[in-house]
Amino acid sequence: MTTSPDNDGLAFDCEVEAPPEKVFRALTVPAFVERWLKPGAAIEAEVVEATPETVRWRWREIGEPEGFVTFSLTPTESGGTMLRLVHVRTQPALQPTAANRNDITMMLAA
Amino acid sequence: METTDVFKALADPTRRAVFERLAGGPRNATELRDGLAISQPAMSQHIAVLRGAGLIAEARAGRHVNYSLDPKGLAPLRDWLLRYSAFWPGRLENLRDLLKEMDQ
Repeated sequence: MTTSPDNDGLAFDCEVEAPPEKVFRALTVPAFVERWLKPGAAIEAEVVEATPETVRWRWREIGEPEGFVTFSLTPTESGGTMLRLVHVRTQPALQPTAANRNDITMMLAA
Repeated sequence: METTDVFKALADPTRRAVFERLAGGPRNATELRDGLAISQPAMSQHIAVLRGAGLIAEARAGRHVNYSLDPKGLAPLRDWLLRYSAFWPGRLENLRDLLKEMDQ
């Protein structure tokens, strides 16, 4: 796995043996996410975008500005997945900060 | 100091440019505007936001006010980066383990 400071946050690249469809489920099915992310009391992750290539979570943490975690899934020749995780702290262009929290498709912990 | 303030302050491209310019050493307001298409009042606003976030400090020198970086202001950003630099690798290892346990 490689880590790189992104202009807006952090990026991680890693290759996993599972195919993209399986990784997709691990990133979008709440019961699976709960198992590997272990979000705890201070963190909330909610899926805001889910396509076969891209899964995006809104990331909330107590005492921090809202952020986004974006996973890019690319199939490898050996049947695995190149997974890129980019965590940014804010996305100003996208933030009406309105109280539309009922639109949530998935919410982890509280 | 709220972390949020630092991130908001640096979310603006002009303020980032000002901040980066000050990384090269102290400047007065005129020098900060040099080469940027921005009015004096707008620059004053940006400076006020950066000061409010604790990112820059000012020192009066005769008729001029010199601005410089305030390294303390970057602590929340550094803390965030350090925390998540440590957080994600472990979680991605968990993900790897889970993928092995999951049915196709």
